[in-house]
Amino acid sequence: MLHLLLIAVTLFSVTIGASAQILVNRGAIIHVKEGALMHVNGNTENRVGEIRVYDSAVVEFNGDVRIVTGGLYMLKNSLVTVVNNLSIDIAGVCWRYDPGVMNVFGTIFNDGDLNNDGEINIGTP
Amino acid sequence: MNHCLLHIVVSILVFLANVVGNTCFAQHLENKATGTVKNAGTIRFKSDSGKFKNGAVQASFTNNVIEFAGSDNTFTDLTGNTVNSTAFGQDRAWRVPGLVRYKRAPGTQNIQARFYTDLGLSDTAAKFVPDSVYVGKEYTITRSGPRTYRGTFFYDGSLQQVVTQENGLSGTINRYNNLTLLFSPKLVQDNDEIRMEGIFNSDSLSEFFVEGQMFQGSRSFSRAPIRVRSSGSLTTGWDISEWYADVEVIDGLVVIPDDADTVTIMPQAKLILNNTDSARFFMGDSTRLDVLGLYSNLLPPLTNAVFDTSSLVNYDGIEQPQVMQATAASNPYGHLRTARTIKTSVGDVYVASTLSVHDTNVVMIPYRMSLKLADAIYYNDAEVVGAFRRDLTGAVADVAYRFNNEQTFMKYVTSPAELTMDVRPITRPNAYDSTTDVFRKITVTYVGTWKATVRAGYKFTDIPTTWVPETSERLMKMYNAFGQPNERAIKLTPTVPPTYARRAVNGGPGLGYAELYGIQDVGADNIRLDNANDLLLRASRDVLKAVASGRWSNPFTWDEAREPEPIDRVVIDGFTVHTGYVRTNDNYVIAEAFPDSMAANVLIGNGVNSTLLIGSTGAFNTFSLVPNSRVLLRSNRVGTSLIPVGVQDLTSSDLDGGLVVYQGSTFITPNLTLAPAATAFNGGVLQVGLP
Repeated sequence: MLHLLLIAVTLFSVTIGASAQILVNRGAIIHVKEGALMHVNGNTENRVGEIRVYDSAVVEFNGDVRIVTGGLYMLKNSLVTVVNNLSIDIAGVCWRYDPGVMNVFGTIFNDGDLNNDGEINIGTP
Repeated sequence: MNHCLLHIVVSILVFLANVVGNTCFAQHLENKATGTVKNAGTIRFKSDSGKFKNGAVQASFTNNVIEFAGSDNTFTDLTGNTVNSTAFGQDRAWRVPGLVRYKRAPGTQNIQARFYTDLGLSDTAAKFVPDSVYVGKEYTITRSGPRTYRGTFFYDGSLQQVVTQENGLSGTINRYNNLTLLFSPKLVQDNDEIRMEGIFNSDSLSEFFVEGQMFQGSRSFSRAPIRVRSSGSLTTGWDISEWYADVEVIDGLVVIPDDADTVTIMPQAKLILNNTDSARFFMGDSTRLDVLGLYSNLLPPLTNAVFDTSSLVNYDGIEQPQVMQATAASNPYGHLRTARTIKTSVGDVYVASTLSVHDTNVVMIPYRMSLKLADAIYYNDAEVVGAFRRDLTGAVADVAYRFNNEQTFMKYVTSPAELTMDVRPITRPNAYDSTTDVFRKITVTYVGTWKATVRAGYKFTDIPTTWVPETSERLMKMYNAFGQPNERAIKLTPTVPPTYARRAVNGGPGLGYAELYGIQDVGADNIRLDNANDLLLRASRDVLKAVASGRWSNPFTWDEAREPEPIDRVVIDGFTVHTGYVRTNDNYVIAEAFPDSMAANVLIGNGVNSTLLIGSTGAFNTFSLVPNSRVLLRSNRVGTSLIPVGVQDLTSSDLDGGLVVYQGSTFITPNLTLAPAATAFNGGVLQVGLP
């Protein structure tokens, strides 16, 4: 039993430090609906399409997020956390609407459009 | 089991490595060349070293709030450079838009030297504000920890800005160091207090409205008007202040604090106190105001300006003439100095301490200069033209209280309450005679009884070309001159003989003078100078009268306190005058100056002891009146005693013999007339007529 627990811990550790894509969007619109919770334990790459985080939803990206095209839209009172870096490519959009918070524990690399009407926190104390 | 433990260790190490890896990320915002950041909300940097790196054009970034919560957050370009790049805030063209708020609770926080639009400091961390922080709009401090300022803090917005309150009492904590205002009007708000430690600067566009309290630090250089209003106050710094533009006190106070260095109103600039009691100006102990422009107090009572007695106002402008501001009797200047150009005044000028006049005249007409007992000091022959009053309360006997110029003063035996000398060069005095008089009007008015030695100065330019040859500065005398309708002048001879001191200008620069002891406000005609009469300087050659028994060469034998000259007419009546030797009545050893031309005319009167003794000292034994056929000695005295002529009388006693020529002496007169029964005793040679 203890062994199984340790394996689980190990897997978790590997997941949050992983570099391989876990979530790749090739054209879909991912709706995180009002009040929903979403955890991505790995990197996220939005190649085409959108990720829409609706009112009061909570999304935690436990890895890097890259928006190649399309966008990441965060609506009212949603809370989005990027544990690693957020990259916005030249055709990408990241839009934090008001009110609401987006936390990026790493760096935001912006080649596209970064729009913020709410709060964006970069880094950790 | 060993396999199990190994697995645990490896798992924990992997976990820790990932955690550490996560927290060691760079934590920046990198806006690359193609990126745009439109921030209508707040972007907050939470790590101590987080940077907003920018590689895009300036317009790529619009901002509401950037909040720095770390200890050392900065704006850089993509490579970390803060200048000469695409870093926001590196210069005015790259000014950071919106608000940059430094907000941190623990420890300290370093503010980056940037061009900000709005800058905010908040939360309890101590803030270090470096040199060259520029704020284009608002600077807000909200419950911030202590701010320490280094270098210069700039307000450089194009629209009016409020200068944010910082009012630490010393040092640079919560107190600006240098402060520079640029490009637009600036305001110290009502109830705000601004204090600074270093240098204040403003450019010509930064009109400065002071409605609260503004305390400058060390030096200040304001190039735009400062307007103090709404009961505001401006206190200059401890070092120099230069006002290149107007300082207008509309409603409030300008203070030059104790021991501050010189404040200068530069040419073209004005210090203006508006016509209200609440527009006030104060000069403290040991302060100095150089007025190269204009100081103007528009409140008629002038009681809104206060000058410490040790303060100095220095009118040193180049305007011709420069107008001095009048002061109230109750609020006089401390020290007053004038220099460079001619000065005039808009009213009476009261001075509590010294007056020093340099270079050129101060023209007080139609007003008056008023001092108390302190010195009036003159350089380069400058004068005060017009009325010069002294409040002589407490005057000390025998101290020279100078009036309009270096050579015009009074030394009192008895001092009046006040006395005014109104001196006007090149102006007709009462009873003026152009052949003998100085063309200078010296009018004396006074309150109270007085007696004094009076010296009156004059210049070569006051001497008219119409003087007759007999007139000479060496003969300068003082007269009590009455004005219309009965113009006349009475010679002042308050003592016998009068104690004149004189200095001639002899056509050169400088001031000549005549000085006479014993003039007073009451008494006989010859000792009195009436109130509001002129003190006339007359250089006429009057008949010279013996006023004491003594030697011919002794000035104090004569009423003009000078030895007779060849051109003089002389009267000896009631006194014994000896020539050529020493008697004990005056023990005067200086020989006669003109033994071969003693006088043009001599009259020995018929009073008792009217005697002229002609003696000798060795070879100095021959005396003559002017060898001219019209020259005459007339003796009317009928001597009452027989004068022994074999031996010169050396005693101090008067003799009663008329004309006496001792053995061994020679006296020559072209003409000699003896009245009936008049006596002449000759033991030597008496030659009458020209050879």
